[in-house]
Amino acid sequence: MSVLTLRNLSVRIRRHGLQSAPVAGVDLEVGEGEILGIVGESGCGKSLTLLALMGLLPPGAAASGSAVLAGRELIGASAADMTSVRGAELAMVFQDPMSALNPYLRLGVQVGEALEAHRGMVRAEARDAAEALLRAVHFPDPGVALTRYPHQFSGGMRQRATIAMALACGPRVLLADEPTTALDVTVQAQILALFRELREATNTAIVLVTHDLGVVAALCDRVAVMYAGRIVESAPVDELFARPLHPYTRGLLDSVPGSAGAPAKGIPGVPPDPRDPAPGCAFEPRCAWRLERCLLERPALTPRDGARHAACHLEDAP
Amino acid sequence: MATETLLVRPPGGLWVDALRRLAQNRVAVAAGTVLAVLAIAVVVGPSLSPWRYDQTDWNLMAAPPDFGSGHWFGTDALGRDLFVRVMHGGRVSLAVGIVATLVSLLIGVTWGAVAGYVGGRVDRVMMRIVDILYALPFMFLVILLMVLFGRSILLMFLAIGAINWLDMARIVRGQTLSLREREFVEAARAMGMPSGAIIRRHIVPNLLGVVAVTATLTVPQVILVESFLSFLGLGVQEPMTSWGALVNDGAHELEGAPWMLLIPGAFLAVTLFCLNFLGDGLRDALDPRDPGRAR
Repeated sequence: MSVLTLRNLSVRIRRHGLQSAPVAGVDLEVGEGEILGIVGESGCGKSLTLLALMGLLPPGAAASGSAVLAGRELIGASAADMTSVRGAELAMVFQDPMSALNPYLRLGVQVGEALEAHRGMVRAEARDAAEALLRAVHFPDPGVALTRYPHQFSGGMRQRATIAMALACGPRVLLADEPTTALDVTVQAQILALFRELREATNTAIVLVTHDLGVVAALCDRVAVMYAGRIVESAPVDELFARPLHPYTRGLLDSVPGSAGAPAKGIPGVPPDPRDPAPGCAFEPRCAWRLERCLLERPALTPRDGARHAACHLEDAP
Repeated sequence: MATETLLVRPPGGLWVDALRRLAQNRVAVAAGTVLAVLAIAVVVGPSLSPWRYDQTDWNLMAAPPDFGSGHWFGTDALGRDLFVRVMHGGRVSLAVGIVATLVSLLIGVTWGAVAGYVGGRVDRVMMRIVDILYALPFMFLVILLMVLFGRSILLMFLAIGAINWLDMARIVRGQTLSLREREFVEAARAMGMPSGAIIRRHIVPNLLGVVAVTATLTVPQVILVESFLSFLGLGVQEPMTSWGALVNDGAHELEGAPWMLLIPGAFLAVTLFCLNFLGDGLRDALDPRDPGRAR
């Protein structure tokens, strides 16, 4: 049972008369209580996809297509509707916990804010609820933490606080945009463990955007690989790592420096310019296995064996 | 040491915390104390002297300060007791400073924060209105108001405040534009907070430091504007007076009777100094990240 379904979700940006489509038709399903990772290199449209879902696209950007969250269409919804969805049904954790908290507000007020906005709680009730939330994300002394300001906490604790904020109203889906990138590795592991634990406890689906394949392997149930604004492959996490179908996925996996000392390979070339899309496969210029039809005909995301999907003209793993 | 005190610190609002931090700043406390003493003095001062502010001592005109004669600050060219006049003038100057600054704060912060946060066309329209008001000659506006509504001190206060908010609005808008892009504002939007609550909860508190400093700089500016208006015959009228008017009078008698300039001038200068120190202290105190450096 999928809680969030994206169909042909696109984001177009018009600036100085130039039009580009950094997100060019994303199809994706997120199951209830599922942790889905979206990976891809910088600029492939991962973050914009999340912002489009939240209705928080920057000025000049417009979303089209469809995104249905628990029976509710998000794309094209009115501003008032989106305000009632954000924070309540769909919440987001940001990349940098250092700047995602208001330095002038005590943690208690800040964490309870969503409850005041969505549940009509008064300050004192929200404060008690905030204490419970901070306890749920393992603040050692939540009663004291409520009265403190963000700068008095470490990065890891602040990220816990932003997660507590996001979970305040019990959202169906939690979007996390590189939530561990700004943290050091040991803290990163703790935050990942927290996500896993929260999923068990609340059955909240989590969409994790990252470029760190290690994070994906440690946390996700399923992975979607994004390239040039489209999903090129999605698969259960073990299968993807064991047998990547799309040449780009393979390239990504090879780009991770091996701990055995094998040098990282990387993928030659650069991603295409979203202002000037080619008719064929977006990865064709960089692909080592390209066929003649790749230049002219864009491969569709088609089901493969098991629960996998891939968008490639090659029948099987290269 | 700082963190230990924070651990036991009871929770309070932004202002309670700010006052607590302000109390640790010796310079600001001293400045605040001087201002408080001045405020009390201008209220009760005139009743300590047997002279009234418009009463002429025919025997002692333009007399130097002398405790024996009962004219502690001397008398002015018309034989009026300068102590009483300085205290009376202080009432007008401090009142105009405070009221006009509050008016400019209220309008300026709201206007600037809304324009900066909403942005786009709303911002352009709102700031063009500010530009147009800037372009209007200030005197023209004040004279127009005086003619239309008659001369009253309260109206003068409001008129000065209504002019001074323009600067405040521009400063606040500039700050808001950069605050709007901060991640915590986006996070608040992602929490489904309505715009009004974001402006109140997230934008305005982050503006307070800048606003506090600007406001304390506005007070002296307003006091000077008032004296200018009085000089033109649009402000307070003889025999009522203000510090600006007293300084203006004293300037004419500088050679023969320097105290007529120096005494009200000293009151004005001390007030402005104290306001600046207090504003500086407020800015530090309003920032929760500063644990109070004056210790």
